[in-house]
Amino acid sequence: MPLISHMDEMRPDLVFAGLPRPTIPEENTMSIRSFFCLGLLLVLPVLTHAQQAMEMYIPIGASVGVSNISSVIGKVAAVDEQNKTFTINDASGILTIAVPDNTPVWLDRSKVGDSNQIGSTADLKAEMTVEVKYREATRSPALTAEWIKIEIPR
Amino acid sequence: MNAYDLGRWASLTGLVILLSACETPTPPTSEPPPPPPPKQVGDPLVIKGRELFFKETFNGNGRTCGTCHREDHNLTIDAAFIATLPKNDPLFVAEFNPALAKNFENPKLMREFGLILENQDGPDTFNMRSVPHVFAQRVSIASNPNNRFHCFSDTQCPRTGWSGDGAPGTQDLKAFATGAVIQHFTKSLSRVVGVDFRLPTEAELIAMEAYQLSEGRQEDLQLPLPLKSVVAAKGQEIFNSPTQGKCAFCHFNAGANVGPGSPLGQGNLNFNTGVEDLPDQPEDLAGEPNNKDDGLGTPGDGTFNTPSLVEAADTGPFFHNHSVATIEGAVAFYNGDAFNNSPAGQAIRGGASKAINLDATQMVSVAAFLRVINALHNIDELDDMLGAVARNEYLDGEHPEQVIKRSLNDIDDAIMALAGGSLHPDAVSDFKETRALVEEAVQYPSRRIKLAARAQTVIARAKSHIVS
Repeated sequence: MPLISHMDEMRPDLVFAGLPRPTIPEENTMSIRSFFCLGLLLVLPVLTHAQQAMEMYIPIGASVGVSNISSVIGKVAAVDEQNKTFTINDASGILTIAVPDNTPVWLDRSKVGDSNQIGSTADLKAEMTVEVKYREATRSPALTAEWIKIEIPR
Repeated sequence: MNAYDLGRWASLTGLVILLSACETPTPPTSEPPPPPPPKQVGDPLVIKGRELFFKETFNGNGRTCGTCHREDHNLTIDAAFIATLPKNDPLFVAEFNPALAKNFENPKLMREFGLILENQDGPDTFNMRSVPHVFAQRVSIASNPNNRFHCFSDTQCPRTGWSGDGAPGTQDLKAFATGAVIQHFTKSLSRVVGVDFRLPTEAELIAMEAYQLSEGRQEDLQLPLPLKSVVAAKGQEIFNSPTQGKCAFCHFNAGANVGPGSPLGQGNLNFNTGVEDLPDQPEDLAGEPNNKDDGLGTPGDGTFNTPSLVEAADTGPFFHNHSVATIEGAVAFYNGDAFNNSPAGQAIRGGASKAINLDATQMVSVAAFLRVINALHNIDELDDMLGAVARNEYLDGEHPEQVIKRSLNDIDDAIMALAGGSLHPDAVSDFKETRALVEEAVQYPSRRIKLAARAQTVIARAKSHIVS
């Protein structure tokens, strides 16, 4: 049975007229619910955050609209491989960063004039300067990494 | 003086007059003086952004945004246009810069199909994609899907590029420009900032965003339009029908957004319509190496971003890989197996055996509708251009002399859009008359202002043939 069994009965006025949403009769509610479920099927598989390929080439601190807005830049204080976290010393204190599996890690080699490379969490060491784009809407002492850039010094 | 002398004098005088008429050519029809310097009007930010978009190379390989988004070709490129470019055009940098000879572009696919190489899933893989026009972005990229995983951030979720994920960082047009510089402007595949290119400054990004948002439609159409062509009007009816064309589910008002009641969210969304499942993809036909394009995300989910259709008819070939050359073929795609078996096709199938099942006349009428609304878009663009010339004003920093030349492209597009579908011969005739006026204005700058004003009235007449 198709997920949308009565698509033809979806109220055209809902879809096309741009009018305020009226009360939906029960039979049409089912159709829209089914359509919604299929919509989730269409979009749910995107659990990573899409294309960031060009982000890897942007040096630490140079991402317009991101750096120091939805990212933190600081030195790594400690790495806890077992718990998949690390801490950053920041002016506001110590931040704990959770690193989900498959979080992109990039080696920023711009200071040595070389091409940035794909890295891994194994490259995270104490005292290294990093930039972490976090997933949360606001900054807090505990954050989740969306991507991590590690500075390779001269 | 006697009568004889008088006669001689009269004869002599007449002779002198005749001779003088022969020896001295008639003074040429006096040309009016050249027009005064045009007035600088418009938003300085947009003017600056346009200049950056078409001239700034960011210390890279010579390309600008305008290398692929040509102002004289609907802010896009295709194989036919590419064939007109000189060999040293920066578009072909992979052919003359040894550092970019491998894995930067595929010259064969670029020249034969107008495809550009994109590393949207990382430096070690690539896809070949067409260049989308950048018209109407003000009403085409804002997105608010119900599922937040679809976004990078919780605060905004614009869709850019063919899979809606063309921008790093904030995902917006500013971020898109940054990503495009790194992808397409680099002098080498090392892509080292400060060596292979420079990053745009925030001020430059803001200006380029302002310019891009100013291009094309600033608001969506309000369908249905009172179209005069019975074929196009029928096509509009099928397009909007929730049981026939079903096009408006994703292309509400023929734009890039879902309808306001869509349970999927609001604005510009992604769908897997099965284009990648079409047989005989351009790369395959050419025997060139390629990867299946997985769309949004890494790894991708197979979805691609919904483009606006108002500007479609004169910006083909179609889809993210130029797999279909004609607008009729693009409409026919939704009748085929690739779409009907796709997640999007299944989603709108309902109780029918196929999601969309149109006959040839219906497909042609939907295409006719798209051709007609494209011509109306051309008219709007022409009205802007010819109006600026008639007022002797710069248009976003472009001199009227250039604007009037560029208007020829929109005239030709409108003729192509309508004549290609055997639509509105009366309007086509008006467009041809407009073309003659504009050509004269290009040739005789001193008459430019008056001729542009006349052309504007003819364009208005053409519009009156198309829509009530």
